[in-house]
Amino acid sequence: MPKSAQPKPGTLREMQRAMLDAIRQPLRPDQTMQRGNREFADATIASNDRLTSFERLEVYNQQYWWRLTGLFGDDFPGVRAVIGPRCFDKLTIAYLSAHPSHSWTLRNLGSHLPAFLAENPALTGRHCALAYDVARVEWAATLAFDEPAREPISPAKLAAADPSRLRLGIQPYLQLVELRHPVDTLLAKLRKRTSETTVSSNAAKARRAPRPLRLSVKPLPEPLFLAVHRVDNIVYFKRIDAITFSLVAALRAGSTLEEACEAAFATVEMSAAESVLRVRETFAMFIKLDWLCR
Amino acid sequence: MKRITIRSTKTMLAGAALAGIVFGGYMTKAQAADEKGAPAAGEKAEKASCETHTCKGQNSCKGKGGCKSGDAGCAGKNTCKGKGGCGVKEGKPTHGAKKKEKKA
Repeated sequence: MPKSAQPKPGTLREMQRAMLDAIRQPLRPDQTMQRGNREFADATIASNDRLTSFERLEVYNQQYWWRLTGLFGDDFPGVRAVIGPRCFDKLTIAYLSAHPSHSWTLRNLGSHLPAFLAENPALTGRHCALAYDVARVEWAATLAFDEPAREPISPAKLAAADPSRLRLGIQPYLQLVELRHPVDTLLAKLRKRTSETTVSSNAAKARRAPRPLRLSVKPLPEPLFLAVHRVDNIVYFKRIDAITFSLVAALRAGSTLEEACEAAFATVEMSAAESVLRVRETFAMFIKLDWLCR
Repeated sequence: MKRITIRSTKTMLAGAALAGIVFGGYMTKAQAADEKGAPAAGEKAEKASCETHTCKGQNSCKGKGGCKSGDAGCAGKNTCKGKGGCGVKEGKPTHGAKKKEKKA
């Protein structure tokens, strides 16, 4: 950097901040940098024999947005299919402007999306309720894949435990989502259709981009409880009932085994024999799937 | 009287929960492995773009189950995120080649 272009001594932090602000400014529709950055670029960045100051800064600006928008799209293909690619592009810019990456890993890029959609329903228009559900499930899938697994409990050691005092942990990767739409089947359909499109376009060596997938689904009359978890590093969607949902939520909140059972069956009309059978089967399933931990 | 009924129901359910835990634990490993797969675990949620790929620096390997870094599986351990160890090609992890880290 030539001395003339350097900022005043002691303002390195300010220059870094200004550069970050410039890089974070959304690109123009033609994917070039905002013209307003020209003054900053000329004052801070030297040109060379191939690129002007503006163009050199633009490289960073473009890479920042192309990388983030690409990864964001990878994480939320369902939301894109629900609201359409054009609307998704606008959502991406609005979201990433409001919630730029603050983490060392881009895994966390979409962590605020469900809340952002709830706060900005205009961005998804008439699809807002479905998009909100899909975003929650897709974010849950990210967590289900990447959150740590703790050592599962040892059932034999618990045989003599006191249920009124026993507190069990829930695996951090197990995510629970209460939904108004059958998002699991919608995402399965998306996966199938994407796969078919990929195969057919490969076979035909089609040069044209495939038509963007659009998906919709009607709301359910009753809430759908979905567990998003992983087995052997593969993420699964498992539909569960309200009792199971409540049991897991209560245990995760720190309830004892007895308290969790009480909360789960508080409003359920079921015979004692049925309740006993149900709770036994449910906990056996928890063990099979390693959902319980210390 | 009602108190006693509620108390005994709670105890009964908690006892059944404990029985379920112990019963689940006594299943043989083979049984557990069989039943861990679908439909016990539910439907696979993996993404369509994960069929054959190299996922270093990208999020497209999530749920693929091929995200292992050498001696340690990285799912849930954050060991490969941003370290370029998250490679999958033709169903097998690919390691060795240094690629761009997944850092912002």
